[in-house]
Amino acid sequence: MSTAVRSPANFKRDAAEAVTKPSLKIALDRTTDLLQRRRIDVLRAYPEYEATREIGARIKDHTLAHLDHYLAEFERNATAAGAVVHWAETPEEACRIVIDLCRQADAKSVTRVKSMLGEEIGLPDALAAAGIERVETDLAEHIIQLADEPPSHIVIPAMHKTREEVADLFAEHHREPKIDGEVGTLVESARGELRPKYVAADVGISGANFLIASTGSICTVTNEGNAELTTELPRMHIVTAGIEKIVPEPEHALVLLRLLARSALGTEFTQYTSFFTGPRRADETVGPETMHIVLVDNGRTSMLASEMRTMLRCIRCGACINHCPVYGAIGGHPYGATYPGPMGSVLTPALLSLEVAKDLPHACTLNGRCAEVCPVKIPLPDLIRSLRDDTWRRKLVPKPARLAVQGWAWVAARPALYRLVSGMTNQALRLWARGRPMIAKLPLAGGWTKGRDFPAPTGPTFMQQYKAQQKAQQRTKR
Amino acid sequence: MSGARARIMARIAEARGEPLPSAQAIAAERAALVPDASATQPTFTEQDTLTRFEAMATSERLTATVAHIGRLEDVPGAVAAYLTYKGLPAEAAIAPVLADLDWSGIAASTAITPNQPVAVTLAEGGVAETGSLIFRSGPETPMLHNFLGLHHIAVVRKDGIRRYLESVFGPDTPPLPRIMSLVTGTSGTADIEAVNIRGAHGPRYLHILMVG
Repeated sequence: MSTAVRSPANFKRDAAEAVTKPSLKIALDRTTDLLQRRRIDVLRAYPEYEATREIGARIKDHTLAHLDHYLAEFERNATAAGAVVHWAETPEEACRIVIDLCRQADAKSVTRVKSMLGEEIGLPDALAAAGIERVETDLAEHIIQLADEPPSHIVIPAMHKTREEVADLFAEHHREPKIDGEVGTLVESARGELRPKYVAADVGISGANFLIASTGSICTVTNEGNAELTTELPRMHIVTAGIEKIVPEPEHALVLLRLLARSALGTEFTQYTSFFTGPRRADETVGPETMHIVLVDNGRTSMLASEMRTMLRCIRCGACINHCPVYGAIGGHPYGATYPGPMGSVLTPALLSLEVAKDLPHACTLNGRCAEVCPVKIPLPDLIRSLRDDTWRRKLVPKPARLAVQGWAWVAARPALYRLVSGMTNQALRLWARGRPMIAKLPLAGGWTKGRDFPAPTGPTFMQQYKAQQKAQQRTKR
Repeated sequence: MSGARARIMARIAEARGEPLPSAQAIAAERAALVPDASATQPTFTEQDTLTRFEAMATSERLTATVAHIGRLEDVPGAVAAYLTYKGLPAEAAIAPVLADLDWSGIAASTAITPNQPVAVTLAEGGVAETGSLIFRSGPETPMLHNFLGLHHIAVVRKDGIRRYLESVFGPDTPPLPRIMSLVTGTSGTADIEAVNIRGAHGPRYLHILMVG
C-alpha cells in the first residue's frame, strides 16, 4: 500500500482486507495491550489526573477562543528571536513554502523528525517530487519509509509491523544490517544506518508539539533524541505546525506535557523535551543558521467555526486509537488518511471532506472508550454521532443502508410488529446456532460472518423475558 | 504570504463572532487557567527532592546511574572511574564549560565526533518530579554534546535540583537559551511492538554525577 493510492473512500474495501491479515492482528494486539496496561499503571500513581484533564481542556479552550491574539504574540516573539514565520492556508501552499526554503538552502538531503502535520500536508511526496532526499529519523518512520508505506498510528507509525517484518526490511535495505531476532539489535542496526545521515543533511525539518506564544519557542518531544540531532546539525531548521498547537506560556505546555506522556506511552515524561527559540546565536559555533516556522491552517479555522471545534483541543497522544476496538481489528491503513481511529474519524472529514470520508464516522461502536481516555476531554462519540447525522442529512449513506434504517424505523414505530419480528428472528437464530454461543455462517449475513462470528442470542428477547418476569411477580403477589 | 496570514486571522475572528477582548481581559482569563500549579503536579510528599530525583533517574524506565561527588574538581576522577568500570578507553568529549578542570589521565577534548563513545556535560539543574536534567545551549554548553555520545556523563549540582517542572520557567529564571532541553533518562524507543529499547539515537547510557 503506497502513499499515492490512499483514500478514506476505500475504507470498506481496505478494512475488509485488513481483518483477514493474521500478522496485522498479532502486531496490533501486542502493542495496544501493552500501551493500555502502561497507561493504567502510570495513572494509578497520578491521582491529579482528573483535575489536570480539566485544566488541560480549559487551557486549550482559552487559547482557541483567542487564537488570533496568541498567534500574533507567537509571531512577534519568534521573529524577535530571529526565526522567520510563514503562513499557509492549504497543504499545497505549506509544501511550496518548505520546498522553496529547501531550494534556497541548496538542499540535497533533508532529515525529518516525525510530524503528523508533515504527513497531513503531504510533505514526503512534495520532497520526493522536488528531487530532495528525505531521511526519516524516527525509528518507526524509518521502518515505514523503507517499506514504502504510510504511518498506521500517530505515535507508533509502524504499529502494524511485527519484529520479523522489520528484520526483513533492515536486511534488505541497511548497508550493514544487524539482525538476530531481538528488537534491541534492530534498533542498533537503525542507529548505525542513520548516524551518518544526520551529519550529511542540509536541512532539518521538524514539527512542533507546542508553540509557545510568550517566548516564540517551539517545543518538541521525542523518546529517541532524534529531534535535537535532526535540527542541530544542518544549516537550516524548518518547522511545520498546525495553528492549533499554540499555548500561551511554557507553564501551560507543562500541564499538557504531563497529560501527553502518560496518555501516549504510559510514562511520566517523555525522554527529550526541548524548547527551541530562534536560530544559532552570535556567540555560538553550532546550530542552524536560519530557522523557519510554517504555520498551517488546512481546515482548522473552519473547524473553529463548526461543531467540530473541540477536536482542536487534540494533543495527538493516540490514546483514543489505542483503546478503539475498530482500530484494534483493522489497524490504521484502512482509514486512508494521516489520522486513524476515533480522532481520525473526526479529523479526516474536516480536513478532506465528509463526502470522501463518509464511511469513517460509521466505523465506530460508540462504546465511548475514546472519550473516557482522552486527556483533554474531547467528546469524540458526540462528534462522531454528529457526523453520522450529517452523512444522513446530506444523503451520503448508501441506498441499501438508508432503506434498511428506514425499514427498521418503520417497524420500530409499531411495537407489536417489532416484538413479533424480533421474537421470530431471535427464535430463528437460536435454532440456527444449535446451542453454540457463536454463529460462524449465517444466511443473508455472509458479509458479516466472513470476517467474524455472529453472537447467538443467549435467551428470549428482552420483551419476552420482561413479560415472563412480570407474570411471575404477579403470581407471587397473588 | 501576508495574504494567507490576513485570511487566516480573519477566519479566526469570524469564528469567534465577537471582537477580541482587551489584552488585559485575556491576561486575566489566562491567569485563572491554572489557579494553583500544584493541582497538576504529582504529589511525592514521602520523598525529599534529592531522593525523588535519584529514584526517578535510576528507575527501570529511565535507566540512568548516579554517583555522588563532593566538588566539581572531582569530576575528572569520577569520569575516569566510570571509564575503567565500563572497560572504555580513557578518552572523552567534554563540554567547554568543564575544560578548566584537571583532565590529566584522560584524553579530553571539547570537539565532538558523530560516533562519540563518551561525552561529559554540565546540566543547569534537575527536576525531581520527572528525574529530568535541564540543559541550556550556549557556547560553553553546546547541545550536541548531550546527544551524540553513546555514554553520556552529566554533571549536576545538587542545589540545582528543583522539585517540579514549573520551576524551570519560573519568574526568577534567566531568559530562554536557544535550546532548553529536558533530558529524562536515556534515549529510548518503543517503536517495534512497543518493546522499550535503549540507545535509539541518543545516548544508551546516562551516568549522572551529583555534586555537593
